[in-house]
Amino acid sequence: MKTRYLVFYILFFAAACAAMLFALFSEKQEVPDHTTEINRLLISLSDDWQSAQSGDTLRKSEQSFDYCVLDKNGDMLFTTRQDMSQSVSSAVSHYDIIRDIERGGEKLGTLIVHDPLLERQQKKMHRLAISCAVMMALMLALSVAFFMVLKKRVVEPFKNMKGFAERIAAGELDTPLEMDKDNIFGAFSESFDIMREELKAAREREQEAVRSRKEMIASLSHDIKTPVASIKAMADVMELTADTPDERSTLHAINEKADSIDRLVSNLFHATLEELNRLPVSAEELGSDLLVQIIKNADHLNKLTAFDIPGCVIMGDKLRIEQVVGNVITNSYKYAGTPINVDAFIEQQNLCVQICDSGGGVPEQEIELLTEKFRRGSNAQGKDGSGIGLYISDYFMKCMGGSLSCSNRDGGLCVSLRFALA
Amino acid sequence: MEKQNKKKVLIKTEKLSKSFSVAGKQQHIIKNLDLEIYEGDFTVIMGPSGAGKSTLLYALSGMDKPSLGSINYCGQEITAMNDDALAVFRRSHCGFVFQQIYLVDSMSIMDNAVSTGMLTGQKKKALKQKALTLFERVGISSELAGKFPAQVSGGEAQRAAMVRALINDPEVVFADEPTGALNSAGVKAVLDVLTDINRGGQSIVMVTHDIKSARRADRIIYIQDGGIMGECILGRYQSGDKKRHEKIRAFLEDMGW
Repeated sequence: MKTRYLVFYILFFAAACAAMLFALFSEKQEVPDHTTEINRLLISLSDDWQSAQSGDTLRKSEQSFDYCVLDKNGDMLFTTRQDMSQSVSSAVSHYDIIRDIERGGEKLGTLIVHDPLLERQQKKMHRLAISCAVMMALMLALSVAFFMVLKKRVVEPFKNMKGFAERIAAGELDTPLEMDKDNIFGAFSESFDIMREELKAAREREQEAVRSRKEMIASLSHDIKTPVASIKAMADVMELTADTPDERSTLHAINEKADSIDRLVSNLFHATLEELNRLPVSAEELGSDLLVQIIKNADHLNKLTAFDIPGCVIMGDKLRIEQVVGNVITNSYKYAGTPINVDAFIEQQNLCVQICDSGGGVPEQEIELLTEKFRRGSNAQGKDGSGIGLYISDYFMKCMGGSLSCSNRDGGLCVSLRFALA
Repeated sequence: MEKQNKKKVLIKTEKLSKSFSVAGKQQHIIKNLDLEIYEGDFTVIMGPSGAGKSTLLYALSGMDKPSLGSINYCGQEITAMNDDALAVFRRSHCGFVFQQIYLVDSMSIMDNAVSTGMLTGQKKKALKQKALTLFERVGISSELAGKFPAQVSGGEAQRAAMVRALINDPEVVFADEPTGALNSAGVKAVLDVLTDINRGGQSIVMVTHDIKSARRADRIIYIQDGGIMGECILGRYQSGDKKRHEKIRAFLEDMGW
């Protein structure tokens, strides 16, 4: 919370208190002094006690105070106010003025003058109580308001942050921390969000590293199979042509061990491939002009002849299309090395893009197997690679709602990529 | 459907797509749209807001270039034209009527009406004569000719705008919610004019939100999410045809209108 709000609150509160105290004590403390009037009344009473006893004269005289006249026995003769003290003892307890009415030293009666002090004090107490109550209520309201602001500004952001930390701990790194415009934590919560972004980036890097390591394992394990196959073949031949049973059994052992290496490597390869399959593909609407760009970018060696793709909107994941096209074109570089023709047309609900070379193609019986896991054509002998490229490409195309197929055409291999139209 | 096939195709689109870049992300407003507009038809394009109706109309009429795909107009590939050629093409083949009317405020009704004719290099005198006959045809008094757009009613202004659209005798009139800003009398007058010029042989392509306007159509095309959801073929409009209204209502309900 901004300091100026706090200062404002304090000032407001102080001003309210000051105003109330002022209102309470600024009232003039008027102490009426009726001494002379009382004396005059006393004199007139003693002078005219007879008529005073009947109350006639008293009724005629107007006084600015309330009083009561008692005879010498203490019985009330007359009063101007019914609810005032009407006996000496009551007058004493109410702090009323008690004067004797005398004539020539003889007590005729008693005059009790009502003193409003007590009433006034009570009134004052009453007012004080109301002021206190109002002030308390004001204070309460201010504190409630203050705490509500505090809750909104401090407690809730904290709760937010708690939830945020829990989400991060649970590994959900995609949702950014919500930040109020004038959140008092400002930079603090921002750095939390930066932390999340860094974590996310780190996790992505880690996943990328894991993935490339797995790809390396897959690639290596497949590559190991080739020399092992050679060893096995040679051992086979030698076993058949061996002279002594000793030699035969040694070569048989070599053969068997080569077999088991082959199995182990196959298992390793399968295991890593299964995990590699969990590659996310998110298809969205893409213009076919983007496809043209991707194909052109993938052609590092400028082997593509001019081509055109009919304009349309396809469903695809840009990154995955790049990988697929890159794989198909690199394959062509690797196995054919001839100019590449791209042909594209729309068929029903698909855009078909054919990427064809003229490198002799692959034997017909191998065509169907090209997109299988770790399958390599017979022409792959002596070339780097693991035989998973087309398999993964096929997987990507299927995830995007399309397909990948291979065929021999005009003395070369033709890879047809079919993209679903949006 | 067989009847429709006998009609001559006026505009044919193939995988027509229009994309806009919104905050760095491509938004495809129209996607792979294959559409044929037949000559002499009163074609109505309907669909929910944001479906791409107006975008489609502007692309069909050559006012806006599509991002991908082709538009063939009577054998001419208009997507291959450059901007200048397209402008010349539009002037002589297409008439436009808009919801916002777009008359030039500082020009009289007559000058507005002949303005598109002037662009094609015709003589003003002949054009004015033609405009007067068109004024009569659309049902506005020739006395309005000297007035300014602000001095006439919305319905009259829209009909004046229709004279402007018709002055070059276009083969097709494109109307983007022409009745959207008018009162019911204005709506009826404008629709009557559209129906009348359609009877005269000119094709109409109209985008509308309004079932009443849709009733005038020979064919309704329903667009949603940038693609054609369905179409409804109605045949010639007859006023007071209850069945027709029911058919449209059922069709739109089916489309989730």
